[in-house]
Amino acid sequence: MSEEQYTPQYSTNGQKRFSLFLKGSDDVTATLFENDAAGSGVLDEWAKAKWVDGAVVDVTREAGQPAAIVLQQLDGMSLPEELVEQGLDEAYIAAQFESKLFEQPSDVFVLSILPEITAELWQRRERGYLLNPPPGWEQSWTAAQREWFRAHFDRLGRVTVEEFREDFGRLVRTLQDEREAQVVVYGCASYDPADSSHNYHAMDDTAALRAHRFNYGLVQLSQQTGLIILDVDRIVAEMGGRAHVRQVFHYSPAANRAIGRELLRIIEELGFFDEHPLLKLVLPQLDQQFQSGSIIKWHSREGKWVKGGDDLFDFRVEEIKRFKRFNTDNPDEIQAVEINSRKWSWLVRVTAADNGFFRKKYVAEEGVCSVGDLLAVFSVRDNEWVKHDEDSVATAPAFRVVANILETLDQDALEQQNNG
Amino acid sequence: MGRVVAGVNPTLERFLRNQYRSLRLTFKKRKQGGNYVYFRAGKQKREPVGIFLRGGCDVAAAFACEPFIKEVLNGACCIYRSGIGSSSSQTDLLLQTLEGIPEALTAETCEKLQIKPSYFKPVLFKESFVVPTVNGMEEISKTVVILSIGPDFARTVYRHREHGFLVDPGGWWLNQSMGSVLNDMSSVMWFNKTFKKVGRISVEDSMANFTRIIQLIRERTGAHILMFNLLGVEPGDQTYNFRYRQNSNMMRRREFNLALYDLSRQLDLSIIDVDRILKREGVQEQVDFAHWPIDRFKPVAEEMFGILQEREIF
Repeated sequence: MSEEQYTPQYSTNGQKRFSLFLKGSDDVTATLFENDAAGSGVLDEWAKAKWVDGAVVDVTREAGQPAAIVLQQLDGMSLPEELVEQGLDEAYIAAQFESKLFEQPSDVFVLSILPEITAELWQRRERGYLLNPPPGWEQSWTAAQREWFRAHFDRLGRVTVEEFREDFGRLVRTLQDEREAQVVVYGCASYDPADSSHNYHAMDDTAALRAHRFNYGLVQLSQQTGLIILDVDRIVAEMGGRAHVRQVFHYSPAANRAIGRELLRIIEELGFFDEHPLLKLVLPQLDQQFQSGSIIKWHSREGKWVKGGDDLFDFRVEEIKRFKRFNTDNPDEIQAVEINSRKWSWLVRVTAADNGFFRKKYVAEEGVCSVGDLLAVFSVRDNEWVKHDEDSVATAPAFRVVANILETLDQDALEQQNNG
Repeated sequence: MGRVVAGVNPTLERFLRNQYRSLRLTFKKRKQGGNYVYFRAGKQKREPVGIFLRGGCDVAAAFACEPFIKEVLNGACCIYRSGIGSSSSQTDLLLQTLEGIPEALTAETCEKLQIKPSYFKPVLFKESFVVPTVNGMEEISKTVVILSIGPDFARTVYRHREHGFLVDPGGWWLNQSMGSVLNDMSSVMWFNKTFKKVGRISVEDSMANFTRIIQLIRERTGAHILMFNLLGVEPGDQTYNFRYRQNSNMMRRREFNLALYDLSRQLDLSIIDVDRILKREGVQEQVDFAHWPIDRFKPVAEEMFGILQEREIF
């Protein structure tokens, strides 16, 4: 996606309606719809809390498929008659050629890498189209169906990471560019309770190892396309695989709910529900230990339009603290105990991951500030009078940024670089 | 008769003497130092099992293996940690020790950075190591060597501008508070004048180094080799978009882990899968990827012990 076309959506323009397209199997739908003891799912709870006096959340659900299969439709492929004639699991097969992904307007498309990891692809001889037969087809299809299938299809096997990056990347770009939508992709937890491998000599990749590879490939795609990752691996790791992974890629209800809540947190952070004209730039949290920094140099200034990818400022890390979290009866309660507090000399460059008009700077160079301190205010549009008093700034959403630790610690070299 | 403790009461005297003998036997079965533990179990007299560690904080988890090993051990075992942690375990530094750098060239560096001359000696590639045991100074053959990808992932090395050798000055020195460093500007200026930064090693170079190191250890010692990987996720990190993200440590850790899985396949190498173990137990309590809560050492040690059992080490 070109940077000129990337325009974050900050408002639903007052319409209490939001649309989600979920293309995944249980790994996606269970995270939003699995009911808790009180009988409500995460999406339901969220919608009720978000819109007190009623709202509509349009949800379209489709089974997940590898991107290579989905893209066939984009290339003009429709359901082959021969497959209908053979009577092979009609609904499962038809879904691979009749997705609404490229027609249905949606605010957010939610995909998953799980089909990429688990599916086995077959290719039709002569005609070349791909098919992902249903699990257990070798037992459930009739002998005639199996014979016909083997006579007409070649087994390609599982998707490689390289194929995934190419095909999934193309799929994401298509949704971002042509549908102008945000794309959120679920990763996979890499913990498999049945896998205790420690030596991979003369072994194929295990399911867990494939999850590692595809999770990493997904991060690479995010770097290239700006797709949003829902880090299922981290969420499940924080909760603990022993208690929350029933079998590989199948999570406990509590883990599913945590994943669903993370999706909704991301959607809120994307700004879909904000009608605020201002965005506030605060000192970002690098990690759990980072406490404060001092601005070394601003790369932007008041009165300038900033777009995603523009450098904003450099700062030096001044202080970190170490915290210990204790398991208390209340899992939301975190006890912070300083173990060590030291000054550091890391230099960090903060880059814009949003667009906005630089309205006002609050901290000058050499100013020291703590995580979360207000550094500047942006507005969504330029050349527009916008009130930015204390209250309106306080309620403004965050201007999204990316912080990168610079390689050099050499102050002289950095100054030379900054002075061009 | 010797010294009398309980006086004229022979029963009490006998009881106290037996207690004393038992305690002495217990002590004789175990000896511990700052970087090693030597222990015995059973009555068999044979060559001790030598477990040699070289890496960062992670390899210290091997010491938590002791109770597991004692259950099955019939003889002696020594777990020994070489080097000064991550800062002496980056693979370029390990391979450098084979070059035989003259002590005259490294003397000033050793003095200024307070590192021992053994920093430049090939202790990793020797067949044995020496520790003070219950029998006095004892030379123990390496049965198992445990390494880690942590130092290659994390450490930055520096090259001597004139003599070309590499050092990692160590976390304690470069990560001191600015106050204490600035109080000794002469050391800072000396280091800046004498060394230039090489940076962190690439994943490809690291794996090439480990391939050579593992082959050399196998040739020279015959030891079984195990390697620690790293936790791939960053606890508490809520990043969801990696556009414009450069030099991400989380990505680098994942690259190293994936490369290690491939190295395992290529070299028939066993991995102590810290990533899997910590994810199984839960990482909510961790402040970062590298420093585990104390109760995580046991499951890691259990995993390590399981691999050693499969290899029939004991």
